[in-house]
Amino acid sequence: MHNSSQLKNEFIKRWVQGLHLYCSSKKEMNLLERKKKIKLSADIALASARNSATCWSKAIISKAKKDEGNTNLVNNLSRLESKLMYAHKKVTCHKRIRSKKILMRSCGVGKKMKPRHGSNLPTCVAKRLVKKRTQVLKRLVPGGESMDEYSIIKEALDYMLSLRVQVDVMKNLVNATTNLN
Amino acid sequence: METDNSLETTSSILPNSSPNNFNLVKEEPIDSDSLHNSSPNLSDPIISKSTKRKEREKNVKSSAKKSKNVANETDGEELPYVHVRARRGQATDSHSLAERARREKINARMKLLQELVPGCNKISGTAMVLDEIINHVQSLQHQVEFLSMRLAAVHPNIDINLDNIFSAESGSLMECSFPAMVSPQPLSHQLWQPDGLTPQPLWGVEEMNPNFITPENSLLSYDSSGNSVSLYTNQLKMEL
Repeated sequence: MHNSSQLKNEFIKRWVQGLHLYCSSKKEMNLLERKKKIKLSADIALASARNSATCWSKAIISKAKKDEGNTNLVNNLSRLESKLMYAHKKVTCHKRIRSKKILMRSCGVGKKMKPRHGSNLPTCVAKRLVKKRTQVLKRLVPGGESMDEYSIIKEALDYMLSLRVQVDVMKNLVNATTNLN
Repeated sequence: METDNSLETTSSILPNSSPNNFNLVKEEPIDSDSLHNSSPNLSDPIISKSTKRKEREKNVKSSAKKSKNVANETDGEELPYVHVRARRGQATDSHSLAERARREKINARMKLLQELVPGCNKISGTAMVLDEIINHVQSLQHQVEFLSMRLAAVHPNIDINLDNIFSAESGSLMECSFPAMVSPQPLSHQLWQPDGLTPQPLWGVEEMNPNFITPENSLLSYDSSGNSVSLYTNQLKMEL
């Protein structure tokens, strides 16, 4: 597991850089826009702090890259040039996994129709429950749709840890600012 | 008799069962009639082997294959990984074996996750653990949304936020060569002192002095989160 304090420091560093970019642009922003920018910079900072070692971080970065007008991203990208390649890889990976799934599904249909013993009914029920939940989890974790069951668990693990770091840092900041006002 | 045996063996073994018995755990309590087909656990091969064999005689399918399987697998129980047990009625082809190995991998990961998510240790069953994990991730995401909204609301622009963070960053990253990044903010340079013991002369705002007493005390504690928070407050007070 990665060192969480190290991650925290990395995250703070990058988030500051990102926010600095926003404050240098003199536009007036309303509440929602500000919130979006803050959140976006935090997310990208978190993802880049992970150095694209994980799928979800690549997914966040590649998703943000798609939006134009993210000058933030441009600067982040200058820091993360190598990640471009990873992002591309991820897209092709996605396609490969998808086609694999289609193939498996087409082959596996006949298998699943085979009559099983009665004892397998609870197994089927359990499997269905688990499958539903993994689908939900896939939707939650960014970039999760293109992963199979095993890797989604690993990604969720990592994502959860990073989210915790993010929440911690933001909480500290909010506490500090509210103490002031 | 055999049923009792099998029940005993499986239930006694349950506490020390390896993660690959997750599926078995789910199966057995639910359907006791067809309990007989649950595969034996590794730690009690002899009894389970015999019970399995007897139970299998009742059933039509591949009994010979199954016993061979059991023999193979009990031999392999010393191996540190890949305990593959085909279930009754499933052929021992590569598909089901691979499937089984995959499931075991997943279960091992699930255990890791269980340890991470608070309150998940007592829950058994993959679906419930996944539930908890989903809830946790969702709550964390909502928290991020909420906190960013609060941050946006507190500051009329992101500027103050930024100075704030700079100082906080300097506080929490004391050991790093950080001041280089802080260069756009000359103010932070002035404020940035490794010991932070003399805030007053640096912040030449007279009316704010009384406010510095408490932050100064907190500055003396160098635990990272506390430090960063106190530096946040200092910086913000200065700004105002």
